Amino acid sequence: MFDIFSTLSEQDWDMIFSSFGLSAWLAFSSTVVLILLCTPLAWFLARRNSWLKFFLQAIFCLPLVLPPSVLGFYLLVLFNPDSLLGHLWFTLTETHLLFSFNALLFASLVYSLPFVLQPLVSAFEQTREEFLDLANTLGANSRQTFFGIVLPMNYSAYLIAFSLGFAHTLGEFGVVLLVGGNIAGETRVISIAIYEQVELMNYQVAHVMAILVVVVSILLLLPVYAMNGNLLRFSFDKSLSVGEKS
Amino acid sequence: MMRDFSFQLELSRPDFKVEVSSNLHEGECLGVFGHSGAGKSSFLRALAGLERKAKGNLLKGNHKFSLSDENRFKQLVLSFQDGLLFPHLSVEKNLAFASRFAPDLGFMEESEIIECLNIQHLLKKKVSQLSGGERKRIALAQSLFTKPELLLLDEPFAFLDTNAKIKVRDMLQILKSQYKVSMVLVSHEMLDLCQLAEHLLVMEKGQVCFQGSVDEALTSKDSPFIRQIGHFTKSPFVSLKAYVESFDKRYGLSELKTEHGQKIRVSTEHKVGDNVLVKIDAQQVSLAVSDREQGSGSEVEALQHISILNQLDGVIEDVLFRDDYKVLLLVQCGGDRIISQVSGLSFEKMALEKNRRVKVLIKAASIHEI
Repeated sequence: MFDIFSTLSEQDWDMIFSSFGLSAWLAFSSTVVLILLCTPLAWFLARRNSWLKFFLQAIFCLPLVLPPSVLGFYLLVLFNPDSLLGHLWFTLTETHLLFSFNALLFASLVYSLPFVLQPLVSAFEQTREEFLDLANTLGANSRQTFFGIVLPMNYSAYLIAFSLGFAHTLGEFGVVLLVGGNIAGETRVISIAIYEQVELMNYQVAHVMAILVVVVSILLLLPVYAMNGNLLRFSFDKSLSVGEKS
Repeated sequence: MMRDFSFQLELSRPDFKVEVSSNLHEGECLGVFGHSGAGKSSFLRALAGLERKAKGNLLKGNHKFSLSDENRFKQLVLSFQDGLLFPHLSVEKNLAFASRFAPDLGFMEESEIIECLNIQHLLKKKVSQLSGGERKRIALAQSLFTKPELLLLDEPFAFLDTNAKIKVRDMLQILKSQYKVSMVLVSHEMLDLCQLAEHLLVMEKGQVCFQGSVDEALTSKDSPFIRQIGHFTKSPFVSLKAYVESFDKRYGLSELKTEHGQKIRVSTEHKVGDNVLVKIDAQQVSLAVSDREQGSGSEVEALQHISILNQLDGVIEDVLFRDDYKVLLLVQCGGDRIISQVSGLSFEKMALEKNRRVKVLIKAASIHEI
């Protein structure tokens, strides 16, 4: 198996690193944006129990169940220069949105949203109201309570959200193909590059890239399961009420 | 006074409605008594501004604050019943979080609070390593680190052992007297309230069913402790403040002198010079009248052949309660008021009535420090 590494040319390695680097940058930037967007959104959803919440959650979770081709098709329509968004983008930036890195970024925000949103919503739902009351009565305003108590209390959920969002963006193929195409250094992310190499029957290169994705994905998922909250939750629960240990 | 408080609030719940209004002088403690489910905690939460649906306001001096919005009074803190702390922070960081919000005012020093509550050795621990009583003391310290003017305490003595309880009680006394902190103290234990509270609210089903001084609550006819005898406390009782005059080592008897000069012997050891608060149960108080003097106004002679050590001269001030089985009599003993519970039979046989002179007999072993 190890001889596959030795048969690759320098050009192949360049291609591998460039497409992997692009994927990693796309995954990182979209996950950071998603964390920022999903934090208030998850807080809003977690503190409510209304039809609006369930409706919004169903909409935001659509990318989990829709075929990537369906999602990609609609994004293609949305990013088209003739569409409102595409036109607006062109007026503002004088570049086309479709088949650009920005198209990939916007698309990632859509298809990875549930992977970042869901862990945060569950964590915020489990954040007991009592802790907010305690912070409140001690004199903290809602901003101080959120940043001083809620965020540090749920740091494991943020790690999980980041890992899942990153890994999922790294692995997406269908949507990326539809809205990004295959432009080296711009939209040729690792999954596209693997597909291309398979089509060209360069199996060794495809194999190296596939191994890279598998290894990185395992590394990303490890903390998710290590931190899945079981250990942490356990010690939290024990400390919730007084009197069981005295 | 600028730091006197008054409030009125209303909180509607699906099952009941909490309505309370009262006032509170600077450095005084308002006790709130009631069975669990009476709405005491809901009332406290509403007063602390934690119930969005609560209506009403809080007045400090002439300043009016609403209870639930941004304009609420900030210099108050609620110390929760279950000793709630932030589980992801160490004890030290829990305390530090609270002191972030303390105003720049004179208050009991943080080190003094730590010492009074005896929590120095716990500071580095995790919340999950604490016992119930430890958590409770740290939660109280956390509340105090915010330097409150109004301290709301929900069952502060729950989960505490006797030593810790005394420490907390003493500290609350210091906060009241030296730092003029006003308090609302919720408890289902009347004895705790006797120690600290000047005024008392008794709550039942969300409503205030009695409001008055602690003394009135224990000895007035309108008080639920008398009217609904056995419902709130096992038996009516009075509490007397006394000074320890001497201790007789041989018999293990302490001699106490009450505020009004009555001498009482108790069979527990006390340190001479200490001030104590003792509880006298109505069921432990017997009455004697003299045959010869029956009906007349002169004092009843002391009983010679009896083991009971305390024989006080008294006059029946009032008949507080009467049914076929038992009668509660309020007896005035030179300024101190004591309640005696006698059977209906004795009441009739002895022809007890208002203004009748009696000997009040109390066993030394039945008097306990609160």
